[in-house]
Amino acid sequence: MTDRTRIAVSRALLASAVILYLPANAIPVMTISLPGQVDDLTVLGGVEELYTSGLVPVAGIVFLASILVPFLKILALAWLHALQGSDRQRRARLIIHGFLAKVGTWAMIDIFLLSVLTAVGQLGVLASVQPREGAFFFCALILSTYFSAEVYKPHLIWQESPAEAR
Amino acid sequence: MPAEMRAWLVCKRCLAPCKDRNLSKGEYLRCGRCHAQLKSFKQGNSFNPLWAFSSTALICMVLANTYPILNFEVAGKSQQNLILTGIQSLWSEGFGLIAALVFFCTIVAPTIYLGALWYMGGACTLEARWPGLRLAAKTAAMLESLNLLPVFAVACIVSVVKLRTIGNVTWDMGAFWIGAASLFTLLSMQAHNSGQIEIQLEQSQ
Repeated sequence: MTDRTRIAVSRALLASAVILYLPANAIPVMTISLPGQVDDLTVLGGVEELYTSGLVPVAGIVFLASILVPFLKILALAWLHALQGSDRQRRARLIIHGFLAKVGTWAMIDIFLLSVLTAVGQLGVLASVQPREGAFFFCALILSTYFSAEVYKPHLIWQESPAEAR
Repeated sequence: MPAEMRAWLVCKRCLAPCKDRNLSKGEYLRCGRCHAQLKSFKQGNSFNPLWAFSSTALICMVLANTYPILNFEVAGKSQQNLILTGIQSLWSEGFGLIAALVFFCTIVAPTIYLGALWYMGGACTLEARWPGLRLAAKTAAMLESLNLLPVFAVACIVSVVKLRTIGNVTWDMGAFWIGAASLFTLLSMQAHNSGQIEIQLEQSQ
């Protein structure tokens, strides 16, 4: 893949991540059914539920990993692309790129949580957990940001101008 | 590779050429442009930890997939789960793509990644020229960020906390092995120095 293609693909994936961010957070990712109670939970709803149950540290972890990390990834990628070809803040951009590579996949925590809850939540009317369509959007968001950061290689930060991209 | 070329290293991160030199104890060679570590001083056979940690992680990985992680009980009815049963449940609910993603990130990628590290660690420790070492190095580099076993371990803790608000939850042996596999995976990643392995591969050639 040429550098020019890398930049174009990364930008396209970033654009799709921006589009997916809203449905991923607005459409329910799971339904929890308990006797006399059915809850459709969005990612934020899940955090809110943990918070109101008094599980503040856990709510904090899920909020950080599932809501803040994808949002910060989108912002960081947009910043990297905005400064593409300029010689400004190269060291800072490299640090941000390293951060994207290290923490980016932590957003998968919500999908893994869904997989564990779905596995044990098969007790019929007593307690059941069903995945919902929001999980598709959430997965697509994570994959878009992941591949957008993966395709954008750190050496691109040192390109002097867009014309240098081959 | 000609001798004059061997005097230069290429930074993997920013592709800048950096002059190679012999290092003494405690010294590192860093890229002048992006400050990435290119080479560090190694004494004796320093690939032993990589081989040991990756072997342990692989064994823990097998056990983590064999034993149930937790036991959930509501009004006398209980349910156990393995990593694989979560994937099966997602599949049977019609969420095949998500099931495939979870399967890849929690079983396939960690196993292949640890297998590649084990293979490289073994070859470098024994100073042997095993076939496909370059492929193993490439595979490890490709799968490093997709090895999400530690993230899965945290998700298990979060799920237990959440399930305790609904019913009784007890940890099972699988949770211990997932924790151990995550820990040894992180230690293997720490012991894996791709630059050093590259140098070892060049020398054995």
